[in-house]
Amino acid sequence: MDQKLLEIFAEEAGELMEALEAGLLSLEGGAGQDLINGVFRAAHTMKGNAGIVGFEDVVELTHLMESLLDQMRQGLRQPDVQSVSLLLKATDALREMVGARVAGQEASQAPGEIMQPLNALLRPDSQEETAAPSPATPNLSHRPSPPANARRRLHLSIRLQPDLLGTGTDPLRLLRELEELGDIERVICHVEDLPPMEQMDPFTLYLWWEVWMATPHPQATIDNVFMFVRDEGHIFSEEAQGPPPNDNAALSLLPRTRHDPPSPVPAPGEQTPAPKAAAPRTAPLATPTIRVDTDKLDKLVNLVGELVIGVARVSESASPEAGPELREAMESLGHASRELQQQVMRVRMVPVGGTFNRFRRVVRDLAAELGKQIRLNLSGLDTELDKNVAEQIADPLSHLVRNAAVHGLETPAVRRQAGKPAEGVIWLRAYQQQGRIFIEVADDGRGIDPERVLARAASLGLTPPEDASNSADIYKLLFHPGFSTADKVTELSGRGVGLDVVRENIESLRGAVEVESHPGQGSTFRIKLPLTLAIIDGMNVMVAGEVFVLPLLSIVESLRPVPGDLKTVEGKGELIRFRGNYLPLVRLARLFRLTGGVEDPCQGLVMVIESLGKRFGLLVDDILGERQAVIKSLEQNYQKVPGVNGATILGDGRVSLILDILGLERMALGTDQE
Amino acid sequence: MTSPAHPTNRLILLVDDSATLRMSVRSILEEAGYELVEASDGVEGLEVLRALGRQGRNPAMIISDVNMPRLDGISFIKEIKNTPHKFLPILVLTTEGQPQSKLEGKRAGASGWLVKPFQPETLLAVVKKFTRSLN
Repeated sequence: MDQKLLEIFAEEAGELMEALEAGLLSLEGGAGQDLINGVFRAAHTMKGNAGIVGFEDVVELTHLMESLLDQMRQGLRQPDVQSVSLLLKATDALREMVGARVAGQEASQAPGEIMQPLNALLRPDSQEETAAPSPATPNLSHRPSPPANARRRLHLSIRLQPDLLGTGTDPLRLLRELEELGDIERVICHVEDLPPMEQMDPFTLYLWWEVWMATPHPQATIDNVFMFVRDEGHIFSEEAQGPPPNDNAALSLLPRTRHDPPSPVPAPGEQTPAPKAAAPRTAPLATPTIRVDTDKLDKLVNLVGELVIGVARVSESASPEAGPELREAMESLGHASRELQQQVMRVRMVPVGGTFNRFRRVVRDLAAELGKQIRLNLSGLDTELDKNVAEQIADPLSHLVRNAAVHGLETPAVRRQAGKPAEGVIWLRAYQQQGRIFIEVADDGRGIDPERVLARAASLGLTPPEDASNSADIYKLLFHPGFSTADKVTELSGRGVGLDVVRENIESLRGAVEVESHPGQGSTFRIKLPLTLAIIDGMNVMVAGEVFVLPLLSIVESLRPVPGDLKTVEGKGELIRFRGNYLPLVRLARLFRLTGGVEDPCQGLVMVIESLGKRFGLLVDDILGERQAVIKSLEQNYQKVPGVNGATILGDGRVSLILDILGLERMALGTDQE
Repeated sequence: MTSPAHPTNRLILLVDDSATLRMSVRSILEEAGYELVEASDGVEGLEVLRALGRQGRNPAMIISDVNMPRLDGISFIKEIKNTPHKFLPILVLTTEGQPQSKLEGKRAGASGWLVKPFQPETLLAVVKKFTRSLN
C-alpha cells in the first residue's frame, strides 16, 4: 500500500466522518435537500475512497449507509429518528474500522447489530443478503476471449455518431489506436456523405471508414478501441474475406448526390446487426449520374408541353358524347401527363446555392476595396430554380449585392457611431412560397430615406405616388430609369444604383421585385420569381373573338365599370376610376387593331394590371378563366412581336398569344421615355 | 478550433471532491509521465481551466467525478461545452451504483466513463486513448 495515499485517505476519512455525523445530527432537526445531498455525498465519497485503498469491509458498510441515504435523497424515505440513529451508530462503527485498517490491522466485519438492521431497512424481505461491494471491474464488455491465436485478418466498417466531435473524441485517435494493434493493410475514408461545402457543419462527422488489418489480438482488444463510441455508432468487424480493394474504385466514386444518413441507432435491446448485414455497405454507394445536354432537356420539356396540350384537346373535344369509360381514361391520361410534365420540369431545376456561392468572393473583394467589414450570410441554398432562371438571376443579384455593399452598408466608423457592430451583414436568402421562388438581398445598413427618394423623384420630374405615406410606393420610384440617390458613381457599383436594369432583368424572367427599408436598420430587396420559365400561370381573356393570355402575376383585379367610372382627359386619354384614383385605360383591341369586339367599356371588363409599380386598366371583352400555359417562343420560331411574350396552344388547338405587360404598357402609354 | 491536444501535451485536469481519489489517480498517472492539475469541484475546475488559459496552457483532457458539491460533474461538462474547451476529451468517473450518471455524462458530451474503483492499467489505457498524439 502506497503510504502517502493511505495518509491522505486517513485524513480525508476523518473529515468525511465528521461531516457525516454533523449532517446526520442536523437531519434530525429537519431535512433540507441540500443537507441530505451533502450527507449522501460524504458516505458516497467514503465508499469510493475505501474502494481505492482496498478496504473491502469499509466499502461493505458504507455501501449500506449510502443506499439508505440515497433513498432519503430521492424522497423514498423520511430521515426518521430510527434510521438516523442507525446511521449515527454506523458512523461510529465506521470510525473504528477505518482506524483499525489504517493502523495496519486485517479486515474485520462490521458489528452485526449495525449490519442487520441496515439490511433489514433496505430490504424488508431478505435479511441475510448483503450487497456485495462493487468489484473492481473495468467497464469493458469483455467477451470470453478466444485462445491467443495466430494473426487474423479483419475487415472493419466504422460509422460513428454524427455528433461525436462534440464529445471530444477524435476519430483519428481511434484509427491510431487500431494501428498499434496490428498491421493496417488499407483504410478507406468514405466521403460520400459529405454535403456541399456551404452546407457543411464543421461540428458534424460526415465521414466513415473501412479498415483492413491483420492482428494477433483477440476480438475483445479490438472492441476496446471503440468502447466509448460503440453504443451510438455502427461498428462491424468480420474476418476479411479477401484482399482489400487495391484500386481506386471506392475512392473514384466521389458522388455529387447525398446519401441518406446512416440508419438510426438501434434501440437498446435490439441486436446489433450481424456482420453479414453490413457486408453490402462495403459495396460502392454512389448512385450513377448522367450528364445531359440542356438542349435535350429543353426539347423534352417542349415535347411534354405539347403532350399536355394534346391531352387537353382530346379531352375537350371528346367530352360531350364520351361514355364514362373514355372520360375516365382521359382523366387518368391527363393526370399522368401533368405528372410527367412536373417531373421533367424538376430535371431542369438546380439549387440556387451555385449562384449564391459566387458572391462570397464578390463580397470579400468589395469589403477590401471599400474598407468596410462585411459578412455575407447565405440561406436557402437548397432552393431549386429553373436552370435558366438561376443563370439569368445572377446579374441582377450581383447588382443588388454591390448596391448593398456600396450604398447600404456604412463604414465601420459610422456604424460604431450609430451603435451598430462594426461588421455589416448582407443576407442572401432563397425560399419557395405559394408556388413561387423568393430571393432576398438584405443588409443591416443605413436603409433608404423615403424623403430623399421623394426629393430626387421631384427633381427628375417623376409623378409622386398617390399616397406619400406609403413607403412601399415611394420605394417603387427607385426602379425608374436614371434614378440614383448615390451622390457619386463608383466603379464598383457601375453606373449609380441602376435599379431599372435590375427590374428589367427580373421582369424578363416574369418576376417582380419590391423593396422594404427601415432607415437606420437596413433594406431588403425581395425578388419574386416563377418556378419555371416554361409554363406561365395565365388568365385567358377574350378580345374581338381572339383569346389572349395575361400573366396572372400582373393582374390586380378585374372590374366591370359603370358609366361614372370613365372620363377622358385632354393629353392623357381615357381614364378609369379604381379605388378612388384614375388609371389610364388601354383598349387591347385597338392596340392590336382588332375589330368586332366590345366598344363600350361598360359592356366589357377592365383588368387592372400592375407593372413596375404602375397600374393601368386593360379593356377586354370577357374572361375565360385561369389556365397554365406552356410558352412557345415566338422569337425562335418567327420574330419578336411588341407586346407579346410568346404563344401557347389552347385546348381546342388554336394558337393564343401571351401578353407582355411591360411591352403593352410601352406601346400604349409610351412610358419610360424620360 | 481551439485547444487541440498538442502532441506533447501531457497535462490533465482532474476534478474530484475526494482527496483520496485525486491522490490515487495522480500517483498512477504521474508515474506514467502525465502532469496533473487538480480541482475539488466543478466551479474550481472551471477556474483552473481559466487560470491555465491565462498562462497559455490547456489540458489534453479532463477527468471528472459526477457527484460533487457546488457544481456537479454533469453540469461541469455542460459548462465546458460553452467554452473554447468544448472539444477536450472528458472522462467521467462513475460508480457501480450510478448507472444513470454514465448516460447523463454521455448526453452532456463526455467522451468516456470509468467505473470506480478501477485498476491502474484500465485508467492508463483510457487516458492514453484520449491523449494519443494525432500526428
